[in-house]
Amino acid sequence: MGRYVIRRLLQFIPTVFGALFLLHYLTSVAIQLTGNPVRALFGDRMPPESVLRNLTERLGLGDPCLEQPFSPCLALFTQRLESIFLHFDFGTNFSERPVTDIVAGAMPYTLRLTAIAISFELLVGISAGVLAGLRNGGFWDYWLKISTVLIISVPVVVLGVVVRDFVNLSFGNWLRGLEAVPDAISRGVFAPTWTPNYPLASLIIPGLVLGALQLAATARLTRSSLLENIRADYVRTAWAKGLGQGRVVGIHTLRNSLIPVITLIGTDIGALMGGAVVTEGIFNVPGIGRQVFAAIFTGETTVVIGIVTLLVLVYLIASLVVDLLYAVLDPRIRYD
Amino acid sequence: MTNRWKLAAGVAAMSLLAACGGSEDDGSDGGEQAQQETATGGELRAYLSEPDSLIPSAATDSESNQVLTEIYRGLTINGADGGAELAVAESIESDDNITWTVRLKEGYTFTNGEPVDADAFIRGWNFAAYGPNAQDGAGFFERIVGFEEVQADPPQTEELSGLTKVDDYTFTVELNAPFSGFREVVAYQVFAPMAEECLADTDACNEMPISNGPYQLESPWEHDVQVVLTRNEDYPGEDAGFADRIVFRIFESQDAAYAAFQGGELDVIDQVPAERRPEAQAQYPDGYFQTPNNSFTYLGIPDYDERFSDVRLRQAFSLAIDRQAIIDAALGGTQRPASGWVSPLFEGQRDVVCQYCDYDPEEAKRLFDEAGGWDGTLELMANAGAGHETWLQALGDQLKQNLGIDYTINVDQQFAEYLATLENQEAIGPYRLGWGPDYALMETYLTHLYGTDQSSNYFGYSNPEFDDLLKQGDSAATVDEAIGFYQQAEDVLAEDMVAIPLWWGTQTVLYNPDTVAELGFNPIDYEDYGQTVLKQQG
Amino acid sequence: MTDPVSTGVPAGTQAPNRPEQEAGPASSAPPGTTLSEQREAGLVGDAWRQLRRNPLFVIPAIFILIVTSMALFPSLWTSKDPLACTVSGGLSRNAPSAEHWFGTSILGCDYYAQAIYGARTSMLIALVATIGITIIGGLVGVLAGFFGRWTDALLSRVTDVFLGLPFLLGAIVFLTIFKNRNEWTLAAALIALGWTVIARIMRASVLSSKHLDYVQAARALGGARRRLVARHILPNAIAPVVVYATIALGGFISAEATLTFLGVGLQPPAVSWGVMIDQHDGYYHEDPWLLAFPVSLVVGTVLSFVLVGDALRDALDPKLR
Repeated sequence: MGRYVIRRLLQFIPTVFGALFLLHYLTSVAIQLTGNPVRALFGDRMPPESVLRNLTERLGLGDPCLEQPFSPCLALFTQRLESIFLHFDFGTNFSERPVTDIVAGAMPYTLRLTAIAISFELLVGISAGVLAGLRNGGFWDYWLKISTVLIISVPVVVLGVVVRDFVNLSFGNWLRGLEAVPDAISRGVFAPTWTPNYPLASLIIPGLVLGALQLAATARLTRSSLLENIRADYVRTAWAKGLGQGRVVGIHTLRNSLIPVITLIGTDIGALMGGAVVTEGIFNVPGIGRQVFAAIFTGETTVVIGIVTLLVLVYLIASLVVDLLYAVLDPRIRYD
Repeated sequence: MTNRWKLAAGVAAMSLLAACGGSEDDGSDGGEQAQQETATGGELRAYLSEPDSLIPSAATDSESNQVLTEIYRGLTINGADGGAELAVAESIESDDNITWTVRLKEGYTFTNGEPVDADAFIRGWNFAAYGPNAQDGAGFFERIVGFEEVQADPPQTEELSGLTKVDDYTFTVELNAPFSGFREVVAYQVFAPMAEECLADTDACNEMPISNGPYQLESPWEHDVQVVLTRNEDYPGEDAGFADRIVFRIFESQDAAYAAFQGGELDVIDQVPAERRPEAQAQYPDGYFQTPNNSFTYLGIPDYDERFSDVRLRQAFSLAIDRQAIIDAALGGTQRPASGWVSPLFEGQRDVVCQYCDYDPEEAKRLFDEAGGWDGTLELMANAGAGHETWLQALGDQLKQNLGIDYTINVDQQFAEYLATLENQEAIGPYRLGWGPDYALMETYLTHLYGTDQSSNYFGYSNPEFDDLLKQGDSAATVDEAIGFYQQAEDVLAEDMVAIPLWWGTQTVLYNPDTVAELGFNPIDYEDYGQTVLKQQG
Repeated sequence: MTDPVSTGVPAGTQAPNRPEQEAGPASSAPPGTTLSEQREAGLVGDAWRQLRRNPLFVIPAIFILIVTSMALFPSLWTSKDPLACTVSGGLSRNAPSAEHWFGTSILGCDYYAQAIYGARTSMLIALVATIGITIIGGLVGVLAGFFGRWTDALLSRVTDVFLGLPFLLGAIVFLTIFKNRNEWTLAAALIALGWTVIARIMRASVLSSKHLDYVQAARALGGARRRLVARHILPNAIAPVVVYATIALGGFISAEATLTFLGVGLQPPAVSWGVMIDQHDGYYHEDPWLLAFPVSLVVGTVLSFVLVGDALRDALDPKLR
């Protein structure tokens, strides 16, 4: 087990370096092809030449290789690696705020949003999947299939905007007009967009929107995995022993059926956090998705490299944790 | 999702509107009944997108300006009628418009107790202008003697030689050349004073500014979330704020902010998405405030490209554009069709200068055929990320429909690269650009854009007659006389049509009439939340 | 938005998609299908018979045929030019009428014609992207699985890098390097970020087939490597790949809309469903049909591909019979 974990951790190293280089290269090429993004800070007024040069230099974009199309900028890359790994310095954004500060400030919101999304997936997705599995081929089964597929078919931007405008705004305004409804509900949970007055309550609906995308996959995976297991010999034995449905389904079948579901959710944590880009934008949640999205367009390469590499790392760690969980959930599996 | 591109607050550096016909307050329908004595108190929640910086000299974007206007006070402020009014300055005088003597009022202090004296201003200005500090606003100091030296690489000195302290509350400023707009220009936030403690740690001062204005930060700047201001009770000026607190809530997109406004989370929002303005106007008739601003949008013709040299072709293009229809369909009805090259707020501006700006497809077609038509595909250009593609497409459709030209649109370049393309005369078709005034003389709309070899003359346009008229205007004895020459110069443009006028801009503010009694507003900074009066509860 | 592809992945394809490593438990688990070639014909026949009777296959399949015909022969569906637009004369945002079935766009274009011609762009991007991920993913997967050792280690790390990049963010970063964005750049971005899952399916499939008796036997008989892969190993992987690709095709249609909406996709005057959504999302309070038409088409198409993929999986996987 220990050796396995160490080997997996060692595999992280080339992956993280690969991700860093890929991002470094893509963002450098973007600058090489579209020009110095620092210039855009000044709008239509031409800044004094020395101001532009000094600022560009200070923001770490002064390397002349950024003017040679498709140059890999290896010197700049080593320099970046050096400051990241030796000084834990990820650079700053154009307002000269350190990337580490930005991530520290934004991460909690994204983590909470992701946690809400995952809880929603687990609770609703698994219950719906079990329900559909037990009524295989029945009304619930079809209903689940159509409704979950329908949700994922709607482009998330449309889903998010429609939920915000009709649930948070129209329904929320109606709630806000009612005396009986406490503020935590009407101005918290149903706040039109995320609000610092109810930082957690107003994350719930954005979290549900984010989770809705994976709901379909979770529910359907639960269903099919349950179906496979329910025909297994050991389940038949359990039935034969005369155990009640609750025990058979709950303990014997579900436990094994959940293994692939956990894999799915685990490997998607990273994607979920990246996918928060849209949800965070629509609901104005000050998380990392919003940060990195803005940074891509302003050309704040340091922010892009820092945050996206972090997401890759999250993905790697989550998939390692999932593999380890396997061993816990399925006693047949051993890592030596 | 339209990208959030902060409006560069270049307009904020302009000046002297009052001297030229005054501001038009016609769009204002805010409650006028507010009574000053009982009007203080309450909390105003306003829309903001993440500011670049809260160090005045590092911030030239409109978002930072909105906060800095409330927390810092410079020598002068922009009054409600657009003219500069003295603020921290007791007097600003000059005999020759070159050497200006500034006397300060005593009694102003920074929030940490330091006095706002001559040193505070000289300290702030030197910091802003010094090359290695790389402050965004450094360019505003270029008129002051010594700017070249502090900007040189390496800088020859750290301080502007044109700034001289006379006594604790008096200093002089020496300019490179006569400039009568000094009082107006120093109202801009980059000219704010700076406390010693702030200079010692600018990073900390950015998060929790040590300021001297009618408001101060209640708690450090919560990035991407909010900036909370409270009224500075020690502020000695007459322009103290009304609301007890101003909460700037930070939004990434105008769309989300508008939703928050509709849900009662915001009291005022100054950037309603264009496509939703008609809806907003219908929904909040008592809270919709719209007023002309100084922006001017035009379609530039590459004069260096001889395919465009026939003036009848340009006139035909202009006649074939149905401006009002484009504005209604693609710009939320918020701009006004332009029929000249100078903003309506300026003295000497005439409403109809351009005879080719009314929609007339038949005449357009006639001139077009006379000019020999157009071969090939016409490329229309605009900068990326600012939502220009939609109206540009509508414009192209009109050219196609009325003149039978095939067109493509090129909105691939972000602004910096776009300007470079224009500068290098690489545009191969008409391109969009806008212009904002630098000072309040109609000439600010003419020289830089159309004078031979001027900085923003991307057309490659050169007309000796035009240059000559401007020169006569510049050397005229009186402003009135000068304006006569400038108007003749504008008439030259109307014949040559090197820039096809499209529209003049408007500023829109939406506020909640249940909570806001009177919106503070001036034509330079636009809305002024410190001067906004809230309805008092109970 | 999360990875538009993985969101739609059904159970059968998830199994080989587990984050398995060399020593991981999953690589020893057989993938869904382990069929010999001889049974292939029978299987396809069985599957077809089953699919024909399944309304959740037939209805979406018909819908896909309709959309495909719009993409291939738009002139069959409309005689109007989607780019003949004018905002003069109050032609902007007209409600649906006998003349303009879907009304007119903000720029006064016939919205129905735009919807029809939009199908072509949207389908083209999705199809090119799907073919691209199948080829690249398939190649990487087979190479990694078949050669093992260093090749596998290297390719697996590369796969990890791309798999770890959040789909949407990665695509946006990738697209910002292109100044001139069109169908091809968009498809390229989708391929660059989307090939990883197929590579994993392929690799797992090759790894598990390698040890099967008949493959070992073929090997012992001295079968050429290429032949071995083509005749004995690939057929096993085809079912999950086809299922995944079908669903991915739907996902890519949705991705085009999302990326265009976010400002890195297509630009007008290009006509696509994404451009239609992007240009009109601000108006849906006043004129909901401006959003309803393109969104319905996107939803209908994505839904159809996912359902067809699902039905295919059920039909091709004998265990679920």
